[in-house]
Formats: sequence, C-alpha cells, structure tokens
Amino acid sequence: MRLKTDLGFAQLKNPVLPASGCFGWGREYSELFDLKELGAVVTKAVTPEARLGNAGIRVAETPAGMLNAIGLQNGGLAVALQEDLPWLQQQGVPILVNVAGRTEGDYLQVAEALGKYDLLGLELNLSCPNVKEGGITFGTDADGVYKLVSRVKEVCGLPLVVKLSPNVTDITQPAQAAEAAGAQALTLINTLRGMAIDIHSRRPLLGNLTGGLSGPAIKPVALAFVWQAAQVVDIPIIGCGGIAGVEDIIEFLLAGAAAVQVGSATFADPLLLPRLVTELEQWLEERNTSIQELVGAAHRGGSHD
Amino acid sequence: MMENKGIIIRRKNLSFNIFKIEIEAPELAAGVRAGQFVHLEVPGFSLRRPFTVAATDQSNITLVVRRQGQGTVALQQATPGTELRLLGPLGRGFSPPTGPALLLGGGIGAAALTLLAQRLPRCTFVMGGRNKDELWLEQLNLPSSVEIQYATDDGSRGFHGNLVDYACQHLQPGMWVAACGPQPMLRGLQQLLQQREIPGEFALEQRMACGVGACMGCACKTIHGNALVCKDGPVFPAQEVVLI
Repeated sequence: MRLKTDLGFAQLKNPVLPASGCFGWGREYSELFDLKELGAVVTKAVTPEARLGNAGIRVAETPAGMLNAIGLQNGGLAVALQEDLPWLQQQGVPILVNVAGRTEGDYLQVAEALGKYDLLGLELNLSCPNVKEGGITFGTDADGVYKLVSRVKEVCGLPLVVKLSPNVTDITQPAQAAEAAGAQALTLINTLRGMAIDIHSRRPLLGNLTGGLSGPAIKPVALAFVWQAAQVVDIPIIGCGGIAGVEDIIEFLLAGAAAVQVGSATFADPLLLPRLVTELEQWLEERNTSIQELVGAAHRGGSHD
Repeated sequence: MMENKGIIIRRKNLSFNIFKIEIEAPELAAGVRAGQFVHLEVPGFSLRRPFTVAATDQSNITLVVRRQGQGTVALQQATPGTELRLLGPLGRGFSPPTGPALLLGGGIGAAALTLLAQRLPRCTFVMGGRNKDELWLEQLNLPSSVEIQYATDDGSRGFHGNLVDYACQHLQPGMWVAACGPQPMLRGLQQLLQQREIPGEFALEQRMACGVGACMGCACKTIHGNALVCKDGPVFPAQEVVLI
C-alpha cells in the first residue's frame, strides 16, 4: 500500500514506469521479468505512418549518460493497433501509449483511433528533439501546447499526459498551458539537445547531427524542471530524467512528481525496473512512510526530524 | 535471453590493440549459438558493450575485443576475479548448411566467426588485415578442423591482397561463405557472391544501447526494410543486407 500512487485520473500500484522509447512495447523485457511488476508501461511513440527513423549512427555514450537520435522509428498506427497493443493488453499492466506526429492532424488521427481502447491514457510526445517537423515544435510554445492538447481532447476521451521538452527557457509556460487545455498530467522531461563529434572523421558522430541527452547527467536538470512546474500546476507530474537508483526516485517524489519514468538506465541494467520497485518498497518501509507522504514534500518545508 | 553473472578468468593480448578475455559463465557457454552475442557490462559506463562470443568451453566464454575507447580500455584493465553482468545470448546466429564453408574475417570482424569455426565439422577460415602484425587467429587455439589462412594488404603474411581479392580467386561452386568485416569488404563480397551465385551470411556490427530490440538504436537496412542488428541480426543472409 505504501507504493500506491495517485495520478488523479488513476491509481497506480506503484510509481515506477519505463520511459517511452527505452522499452519498446515491453515484449523484449517481458522475457526478463513480469511486466505486471511495473506501475504501468509507457510505449514507444506511435505515429500515423510507419517511420524508418534517422540514418547513420543513432546512439552514443557520454559521460554519465548517452545521446540518442532514433527519429521515432515505429511501425505506425496500424501495426500498433493490430500487433503491439493486443499483445501488451494481455500482460495485465496499465498502458500509457506515447503519441507523436509531424502535424496536428497526425496527433488527432492517432489519439482518435486509440481513444476506442481501454488504456490508462495517452502520453502526448510534444518534445522529441530528433525529428525535423512536429514534436518539439508544438511543445516549446505555450500557445502551441494549448491548441494541440485542446484539439486532442475533442477527439479522444482518454486521460492525456503531456510530455514536455526541457529545451525551453521557461517550463512554467507550456506546463500551465497543458493544464489549462485539460491535460490530466505532465511528464517532465524529455531529453536535452546535445551532440558528439568524431575526432577521427572530424564529423558529427550521430547521423542526425544532434541528439537527445539522457542519463544521470541530466538528473539535476530534470529535478529543477519538476520542481518549477510543481509550483505552478495542480495536475500530477511524472518525473523523468537520469533516474538510476531508488534515491533518485525519492528526490523526484520530493520535488513534486507523483510517479517516475526510468529510461536509459535500463540499458545498463535490464532488470533495474523491477528491482527499483522492490527497493523503493523497502526504503519506504524502513522509514515508515509512503509515496503519498513524499510527493511534493520538499515544497512543504521537508522533514523536521 | 537472460541476465548472467560472469567472472573474469584471464586475459591475454593478441596484438597491439586486440585482447581476449575469458569469462566464467557456464549457462552462456552452454546456450550460445555461433554468431550470437552478449551485452557486457563495463563497470562505470552508462552503456553495455555488445561482443560476439568468440569461443566456448565447458564453463567459460571467450570474447575478442579491440581496444577502441574508454570502455574497452577499462575492460582490458579489469582484473581476473572481477564480476561482470552479461545479457545473452542475444540475436540471430549463423545457419550453416552442410558442405564446404569459407569464413572471411576482416580485422576484428574475425572475432564474429571464430565460434562458428570451432563448431563446424570442417572449414577454411581466412583472416584479413593490413599487415602481419594485425593477425591473431592462430592464438585462439581453434580445433584442427579449421584450416587457418591469412590475407594481408601488404603481402607480409599469407595471400597478398584483401579478402575480396582472396575470395575472387578461391571461391568454388558449392561453397557457403560467412563473413564479417568493414563495410567496403562486405560490399565487394556481396557483389561477388551474387555474381557467382554462392550463398552466404554476413555478421554486422553496430553501436547498440539496449541490445534486445527495444530502443531501435542499431537499425540497418535490408531489402525488406529496416531491421535491428541486435534482434533481427547480427547475422543476415548476404544478399538481404543493404550496405552503404
């Protein structure tokens, strides 16, 4: 019970989720552990059409993290509905489907189609840094966020979680715009734009030239965004960025996140997600506290013990 | 696929920048197919490293590693007794038919073929390099069923020329070819195999993040569209990969 968390639109049995794009649809990792151990599964982004993604090198290690420039490779809406979703629905775990697109119409098409399914909700990806059009161009501008989220709400009755980009000067603007448009929660943050250069070829390493930085290197940045957003919105926040251990999770909860997503740390340790659930429960038990007690506690003056 | 614990047993340099590392991991040693790989943890680094299993005995696997960046330097310095985690066996391995097999390994690419060589009833295994100092195949204690040959660009050992030149002279009808190496070599070989109507398989190398097919980080092109080197490969039919 200590692990239970309240997202407003739903209760999750625990706050540990995989981050979109780092977990596929869970099929591969289901060979290693039972997906039911997770609070929910967040899927790879779905776009209306199949996307081949970016050419060239797509991933690179960095100090305390990694860069990726996948470019939203996915099988498209039809494959998601015919193959991926039916499989995941049989695993008995709540599902957040991540939705991306180039145009407003793309988001509407995918959201409307998914609206007919029994899902925990949709995570609107307004923050992919690795595609030329769409995604991030909607998420960095408050008016763009408001318009897009409002339109999606008109065609889809599912709870909407809006995943925002850290590549902005002031996160409170898009965060408040998402809330005002009716988003039920926010995911903060997507990756930070970064790059690497191959000193031998003297060329950018990634095929896409730039990529998204993730991993422990970005945790302090992500925490600050969660903290800032939590001060201006009332909807729950799902914290994401550099989480690799149970104490990272606690920090995000204290900063105001009601749940967390774990991304690239899964690559270093494919069994990390279920272990974090176990360790989190132990941590709470040892201190006789609960997720509910911790969420946002740092804003309330912390502990006086 | 499973998460395994391995213990470094010993390490040996094979050339100025290539070393082999033996890791005790009995379940992997028993379960791995030729051409499959493991995703190896290097303590202190954010990503694992994919390595084809180069040899097995009852309880150990051998990896052949090129020292290339900080991660492989750290791996070379890891002392025997160090415990590492390995995910595997991963990917699709070789499917050799019966009959004469020619294995062509360019540089570190040869490491992707050595377990296949160990397990084939008979084969010819040619390793290519720029010069004799880059060659290390005979140091792997391959069984006597493997006929080892070399090809060097400068002619300092074995056949004088690259592996495509070698194949051009030595390919016979009825052979099956397995190859791994730099893209230009695979491109030349692909063309040659097509002209001579000789079947074969190529093992591809690519940077990876998850190693299991979830992150889409290691995409390659095939005649059927995008494929993932980690899950759909690393071994592909020679005529199906689109080499750039």
